[in-house]
Amino acid sequence: MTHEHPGPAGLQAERTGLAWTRTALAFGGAALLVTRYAVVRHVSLLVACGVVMLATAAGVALVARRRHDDIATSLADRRNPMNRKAVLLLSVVVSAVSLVCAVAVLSLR
Amino acid sequence: MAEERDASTDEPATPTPWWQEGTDPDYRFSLANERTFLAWIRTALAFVAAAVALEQLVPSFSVHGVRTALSVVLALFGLLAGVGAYRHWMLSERAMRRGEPLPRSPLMLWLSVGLVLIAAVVAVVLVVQAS
Repeated sequence: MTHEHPGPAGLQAERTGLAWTRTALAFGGAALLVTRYAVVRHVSLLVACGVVMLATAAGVALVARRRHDDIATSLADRRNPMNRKAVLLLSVVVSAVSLVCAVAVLSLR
Repeated sequence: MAEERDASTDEPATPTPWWQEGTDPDYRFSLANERTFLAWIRTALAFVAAAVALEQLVPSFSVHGVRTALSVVLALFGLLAGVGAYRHWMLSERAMRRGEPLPRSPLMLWLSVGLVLIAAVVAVVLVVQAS
């Protein structure tokens, strides 16, 4: 394909990389809130939750850093740049964290 | 690359996974779908943050149990958005591979109605508290 924008991936890849960066920041913020909650209330399940969230924030930041280049590589290989495993993992972590928080709030009242 | 399957060939032992069905869509649409997914994930995280912040930082309402209930509902919205994010991403990606119209998502309606109800509850509680 010939496009006028720079490189084979161009602005689409940049926008997608930035979306991952925003998500990493959101994860970091939510992780700090959950960790604070966990430490204040001394609940080990919540502490684990906070640790998993911080690790996920780091993982998402890593994906964000590489996403632009990964997309460019996929396009050069004529592959669809779909990132199925990262999407599934992110969805599972966020859902699990939400559930744990709901249970924690209920049991700590 | 997706292969074109001939309808007359024997049924494969394992059914084709959805991510190999049809043909690869335009990469720009796949990336747009990915960004929409990420936006839903951030929405879910905002719900979790709101649930925890409500529980931790807001003084208890005079009506007993309301704060806990709102906090639990917000966290469950996070669960709904987290699961719905994947579901909508998968259905959209599959529809694009099959060349079908994009699926509708009930998620936005549910969450909007839920948030309006939460706002209404908070408004009522604040009025009761003030009087």
